[in-house]
Amino acid sequence: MDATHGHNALEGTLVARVATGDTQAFDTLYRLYEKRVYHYIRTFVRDASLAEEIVGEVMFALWRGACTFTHQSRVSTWIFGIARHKALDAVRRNGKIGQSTAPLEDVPDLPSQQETPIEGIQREQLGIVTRQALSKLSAEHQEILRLVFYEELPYEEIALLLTIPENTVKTRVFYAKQQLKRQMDRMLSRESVV
Amino acid sequence: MTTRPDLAPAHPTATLLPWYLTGTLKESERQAVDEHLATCADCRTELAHLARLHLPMKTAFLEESTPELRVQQQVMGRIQAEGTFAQPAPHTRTGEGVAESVEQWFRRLFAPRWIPALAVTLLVGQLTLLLWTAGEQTALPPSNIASRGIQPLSTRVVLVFQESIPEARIRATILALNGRLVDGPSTDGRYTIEISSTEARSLDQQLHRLQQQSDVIRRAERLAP
Repeated sequence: MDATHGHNALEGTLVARVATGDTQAFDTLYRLYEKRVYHYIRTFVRDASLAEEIVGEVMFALWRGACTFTHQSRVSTWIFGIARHKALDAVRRNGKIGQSTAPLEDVPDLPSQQETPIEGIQREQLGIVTRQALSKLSAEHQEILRLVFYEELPYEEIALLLTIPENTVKTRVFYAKQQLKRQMDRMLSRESVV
Repeated sequence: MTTRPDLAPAHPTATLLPWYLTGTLKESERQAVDEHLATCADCRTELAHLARLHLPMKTAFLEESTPELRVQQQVMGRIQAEGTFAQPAPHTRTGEGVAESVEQWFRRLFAPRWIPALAVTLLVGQLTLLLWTAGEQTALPPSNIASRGIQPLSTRVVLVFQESIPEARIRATILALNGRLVDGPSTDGRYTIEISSTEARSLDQQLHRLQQQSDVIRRAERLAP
């Protein structure tokens, strides 16, 4: 797991200490989650300054609500749940200000290919193409891929966070991966044509 | 969501591959995927493809920009300005209210290093009192009234909380009993609470209610006198 991620046991202890008013523990938790929460919110909210404002709201809610955390989920699930709630609230208040939320059915299919261009490219180029392809995905797909591959949450925790069935999590990830792969293939095909 | 057969996962196990890659599957599921991969070339190919994308995806998410420092400063300023506290009231260096004094008293009680000293003090105190009263009794003139024993002035109960329960909840539960913490937490998580006789009448009801809260309390019972 990345250095910016905390272990759940440590984070649980931090939340318990925050519940007693420990500002040092809150500061530690803040630094562990600020960037992650910010970019999770940016999945829904394109405006950077609004996303920052929501981060502040989330962290303040974390401070006030630490005593309500029951440790029945991971700390990260709980915090991202707060962030998701506040981000979607902001989207509802401000209209559609986020990334595209096109339903899966509307994304055009690419012709299937026997051999993908992805396999043949260098690591550095792969990183660039991956980043660009991710930015083209819908908010739902970006969110689910972030939760699986960056936050490394188990599918049960993601189901809890998104309040969807576990099987829906699995199939959503499957289709998100498919779309990512298609975007990357499309980009690499365009480059090869040029 | 419509199902598109050409895109549907070939095997149910294929849907678990992302979590197999990140090492977050339950052990039984991980073993099932292991067994499936041993016989399925398509899933092995899919796993290899995922593995190749894993680091670029993590890097893509990691390299994004950071919120400005002023956001944290604003949050800390708001916390200090409102003086808000999750529960109970926050510790402040300047001026402590009654609630904060109680909080500090409980915090000292829960500090492990004080428990042995408190236990020893209580034992010595009770032993001294026992010896003193025993000495007093032998000096009393004979009486025609036979003592049938002294009724206890207080009752003691033992509480054992579920491991996940935070300190704030434990304190609130003890306070709700109008009791006094006399021992604990012990190494096995027992809290011994002394309840005055005036509160003891409703104690059975309170203990019964606590026992119903199995998500909070593992054990709640009177101690034998």
